[in-house]
Amino acid sequence: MTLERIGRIWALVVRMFAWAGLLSLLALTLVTLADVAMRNGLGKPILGLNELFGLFGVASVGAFLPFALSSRQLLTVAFFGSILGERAGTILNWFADICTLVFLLALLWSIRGYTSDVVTNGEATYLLGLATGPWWIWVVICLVVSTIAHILTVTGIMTRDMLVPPRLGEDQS
Amino acid sequence: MDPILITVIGLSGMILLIGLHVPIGVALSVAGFVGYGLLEGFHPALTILESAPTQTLSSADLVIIPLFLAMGGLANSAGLSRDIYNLIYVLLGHRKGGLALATIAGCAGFGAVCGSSPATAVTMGRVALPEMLKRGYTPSLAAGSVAAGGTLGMLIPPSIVMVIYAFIAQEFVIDLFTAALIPAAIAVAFHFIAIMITVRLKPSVATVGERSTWPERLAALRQSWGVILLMGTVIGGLYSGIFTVHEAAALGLALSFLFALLRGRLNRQELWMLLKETAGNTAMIYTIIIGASIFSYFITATRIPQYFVETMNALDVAPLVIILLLLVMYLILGAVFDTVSSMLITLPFVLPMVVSLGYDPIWWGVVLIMVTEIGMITPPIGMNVFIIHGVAPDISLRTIFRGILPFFYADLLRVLVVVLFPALALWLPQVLG
Repeated sequence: MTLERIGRIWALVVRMFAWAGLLSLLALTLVTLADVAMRNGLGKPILGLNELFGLFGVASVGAFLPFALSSRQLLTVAFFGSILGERAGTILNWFADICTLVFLLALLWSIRGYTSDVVTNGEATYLLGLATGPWWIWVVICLVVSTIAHILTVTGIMTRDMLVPPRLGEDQS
Repeated sequence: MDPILITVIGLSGMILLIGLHVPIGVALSVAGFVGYGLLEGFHPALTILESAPTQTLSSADLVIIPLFLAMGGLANSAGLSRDIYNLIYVLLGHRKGGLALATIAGCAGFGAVCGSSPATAVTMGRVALPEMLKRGYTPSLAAGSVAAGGTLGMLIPPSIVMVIYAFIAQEFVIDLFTAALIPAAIAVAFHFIAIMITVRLKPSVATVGERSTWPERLAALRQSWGVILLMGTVIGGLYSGIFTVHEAAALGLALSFLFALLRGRLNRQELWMLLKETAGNTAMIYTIIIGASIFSYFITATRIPQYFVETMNALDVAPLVIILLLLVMYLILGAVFDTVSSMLITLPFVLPMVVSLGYDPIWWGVVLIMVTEIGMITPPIGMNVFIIHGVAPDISLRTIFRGILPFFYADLLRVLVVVLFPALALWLPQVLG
């Protein structure tokens, strides 16, 4: 299986995660509407709604991460690249991608450790008593998907950059 | 190692990494982690690497951000931006420069259901710019009014930047929303005045439209019931205390979704755009907040903010002078960084200093957002200018920047007014409790 084909399959996985994140937001919206209706109509609000906001937030944002990384939507300032020319810009982009990969691995490592503690201790939300472990396991899965998506994207870009020679006269300034 | 030296290394490292194309959130995280590690040891630094992301990701307060982002995206899909623009146009279009006035008011109105400056600029750019150009407005006034009006999206509550500021400064976001109301009204008024002066000095830059009849106005009002209902629900619900910020955001999202669905606008392409913008922007903002949280731990550990405060107190300088110097610094930063980044990079230093000078953090939040939003239309970066250039590639960047000048002066004057009279921001939160 070629790298390009793996990249296409992974892009589909990433999109599915992003859709899951959006659905999670819509689910949160529905729960909130139910709370507003129950509070105003029956005088019985959903206790611990704030806890749901925290949990659904974790699920949504985690699910959005792979998409943002594969579509390179993290905010950058291409300062030196614009001054130093195309080739230098390409090398700086590679450096930035490697830094992002290190950051992702560190994030994955730290959140994996946290999740392990949460699961081991059987932590749950205060009012609703919902176990928080599964939500954090979801984040770890999202981070694994993000890291793979980032590696595939960057590998694709680096391969393309190395195959395409710089245009004549572009780096002379 | 000397804490001051470590601070200098941390700060320079962060700026260097950003200059080397590293994403801002990643650069903040790396600099914060290494700096904290050098100060306190790398074992405690690893704890921060765990606590900062988990606290940010699980924050119930920050979930408002993707909700508002999705609401803005759906409101755009539903065509609400065009409705509000048309409504204001039939009311103001007969005046000289009326379309530019309608653009500013439309931006303010759409900002109330969107909360993002670039999103407001791009949406209103697509709606208002072709209309103004078609009716003989000069490209500079047309593009300038959209780019400058777009910045109102950040100041008119509900604003995503305010949610982030409230999270970092540990203030109530509703206080910030309330405090921004009068400055936002002043912003709209000053932009109106800028347009009126421009068309008075150079009458050829704008044309006069035909006066709409009352049936036409009523028809436009009927057409825009959706956006009025959405604004009423979000803003009215928030300020009347009927809804919490979370509820207002969720209701706003539900209403926008319904409008887009009922108007038959929720096709595959629109949904894909919605997903792309919501997912991309949410992840981008969260990454910066995670980085800023790690960086804040480092800056707090250096005790540099206290050092700044002590130095500031020792200097025999009026607090206002320091505030003005900070504003100049933010104008420069705002021209290079985006609003969220310039705010989050500097807040750990600046907020303790401003509070020690006796100023209210809510007031500072409003001023900070106002001054950094000016950066959205200031060269060399000026994100809104590039957005408008993207919408209308035929209009040169130079022309857009020229068109922005009257609004730039109006914005500077407005910031100065709110700085000199803090009550303009603080009175309403006190009255509404």
